[in-house]
Amino acid sequence: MTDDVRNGNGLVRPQSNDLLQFTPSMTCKNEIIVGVAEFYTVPAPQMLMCIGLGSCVGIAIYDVRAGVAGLAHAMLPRFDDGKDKQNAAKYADSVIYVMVDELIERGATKANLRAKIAGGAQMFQFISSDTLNIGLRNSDVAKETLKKERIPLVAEDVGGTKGRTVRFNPTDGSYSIQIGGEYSWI
Amino acid sequence: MVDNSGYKEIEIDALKEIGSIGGLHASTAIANLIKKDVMVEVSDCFIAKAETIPTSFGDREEIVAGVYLDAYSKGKGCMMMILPMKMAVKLSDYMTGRQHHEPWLFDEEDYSAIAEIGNICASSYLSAISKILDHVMLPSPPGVAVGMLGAILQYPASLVAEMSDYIVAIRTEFTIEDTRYPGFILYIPDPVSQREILEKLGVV
Repeated sequence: MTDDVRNGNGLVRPQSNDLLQFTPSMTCKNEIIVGVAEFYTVPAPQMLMCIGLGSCVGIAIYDVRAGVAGLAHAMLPRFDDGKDKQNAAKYADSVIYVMVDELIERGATKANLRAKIAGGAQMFQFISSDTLNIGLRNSDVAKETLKKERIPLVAEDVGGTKGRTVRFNPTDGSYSIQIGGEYSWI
Repeated sequence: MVDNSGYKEIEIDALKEIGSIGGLHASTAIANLIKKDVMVEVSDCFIAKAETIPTSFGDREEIVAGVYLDAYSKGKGCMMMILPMKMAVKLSDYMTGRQHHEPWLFDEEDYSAIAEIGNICASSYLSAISKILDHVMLPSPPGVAVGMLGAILQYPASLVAEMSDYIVAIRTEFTIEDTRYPGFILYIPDPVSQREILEKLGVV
């Protein structure tokens, strides 16, 4: 127990973990804030959070039995169409591949992985509707890639015109979604 | 800290100047429309990776009204106008001659009023720049969104991320005489217009 840190809620966070890198965007409580074009994988008591998902999509992949989960905040649909090849976490398809690898490295079993996605809203109401809908493309590519990777998509909350703030709890796999002042769980 | 990634100090100053010129024309247009004083701050120029746009311009959870327009010239850039909710409601009141009360509800009429203000701003901003560049620049029809600042700014972020790695964003802040919270105009020129601006101002 001496190696662990107890935070205010009495939850234990393992200290000696190579995969968990502390960055400035991480809060010191038990929630990690996943920024745009980032992803994190964590062991169970740690919570994950995305603030302000607009057209971006928040992809949560988890294994409740092994107690690990990852949350990605992807900005663009396809890695192949993108300009920046340095950061795989930017794209909805490549981030899933990378995150699944890291989850398996943390002890998850591929067959037990489940996924939930949220986001992909179309924020702007355009008078001309021919503008390409990035939010819809993001969520479509995420769903397609999950299907290709044979990870069952348990629940989704995509589309709409409002931004979302989401929290993922790896302990029970619950995904709380806040739109404006309203909360819902999927 | 912003890294300049190959841009010289003088080039950044030139881009800031474009923001001031455009912003002043835009503010004059609003001032004529609502018959109130509009104050413009000195503009900023950000050079950063596209994914940092949503977090670079203030509290990302703040609810704001945003207007988005494409800026068509030889390439396709982005124009955005971001207004804090109270300012958006006030502007819409001045324009439509209505009076909003406490819950500050934002209805259909406010949406179109704000879209129109964004359109007028962007048109005068771009026509000022087009006089420098000597060719036509036009905004597309406006789109309006109300929501978290971070969520709204993700839209231009993902559009420009598709085109280039590093982006140049020129921000001009403005306030209206009796509101304390500043709104801002954001212009993200496409690489072609960027080069043209720098060439016309003679800094390359």
